[in-house]
Amino acid sequence: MKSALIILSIFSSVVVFGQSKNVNFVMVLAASKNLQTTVFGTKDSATLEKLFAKKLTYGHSGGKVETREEAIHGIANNKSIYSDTSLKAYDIRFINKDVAVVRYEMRETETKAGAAPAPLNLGILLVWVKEKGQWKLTGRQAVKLAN
Amino acid sequence: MRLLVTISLLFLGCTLFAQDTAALKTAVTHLNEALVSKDQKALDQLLNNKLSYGHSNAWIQTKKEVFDDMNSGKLIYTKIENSSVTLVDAEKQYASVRAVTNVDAVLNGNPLQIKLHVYQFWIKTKKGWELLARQAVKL
Repeated sequence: MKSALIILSIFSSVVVFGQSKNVNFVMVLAASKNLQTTVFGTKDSATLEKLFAKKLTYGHSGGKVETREEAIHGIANNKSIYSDTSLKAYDIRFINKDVAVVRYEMRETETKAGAAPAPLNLGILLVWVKEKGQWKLTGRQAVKLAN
Repeated sequence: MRLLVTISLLFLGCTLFAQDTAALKTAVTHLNEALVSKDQKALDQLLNNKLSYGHSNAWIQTKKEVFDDMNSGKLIYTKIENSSVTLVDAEKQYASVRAVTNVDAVLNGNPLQIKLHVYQFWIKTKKGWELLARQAVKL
């Protein structure tokens, strides 16, 4: 009877641990997709305030770096229209259950105000950390893809 | 008396924090040196096992690939010099660093010289500071 209880408790903790890993994966992927559709779609600053950690360093593919406030302002006032906000070829890694590193590609067409549409293909690195049980973005760096 | 204890603890906290950021700055410099000198022991210590090391052409190496490509001669660094290093965010367990770096290297037998902006994300483990993610862009 005791051995059955021990086996059951080990099994339960494995299942629970497995579930919490899956939950974190789902949460980080959802947050990354939400970030993508906000930055390149709705540009809603209230959403960005919720997604960004207390400290954020936000890097663009040309080397420009923005603080948390500068990034929110820049995104909200961006006049460009983007064709496709989906995440492609994503990879998510977890460290210590409270740090997640996400990489993905975005391939879309950007139409700047008063200009013809042009391809925009970027590799994106996101670093998420857990603050008060929520995943928040603390680092971002984009790099140009070849084609 | 309580005020004295509080001040002492704050001072101790600041000292420990200062030691941590000093250790991080050392790790940042040490990584560049280890890549050029091919110090595998140092690199094994400085690079987290879940590392993703992104180059300015969007090529990404895992930790294993960093070692394999170094040993096979695919990617050789002859110079890595930071002209500026900024600790943009330092918490107890992780930190973001940004640097402007000049790199001389030989990639697939072709020499190259490149000026980069580099973003590094470091985490603090029991062994010390480890690089978890890196992304460079061409300047």
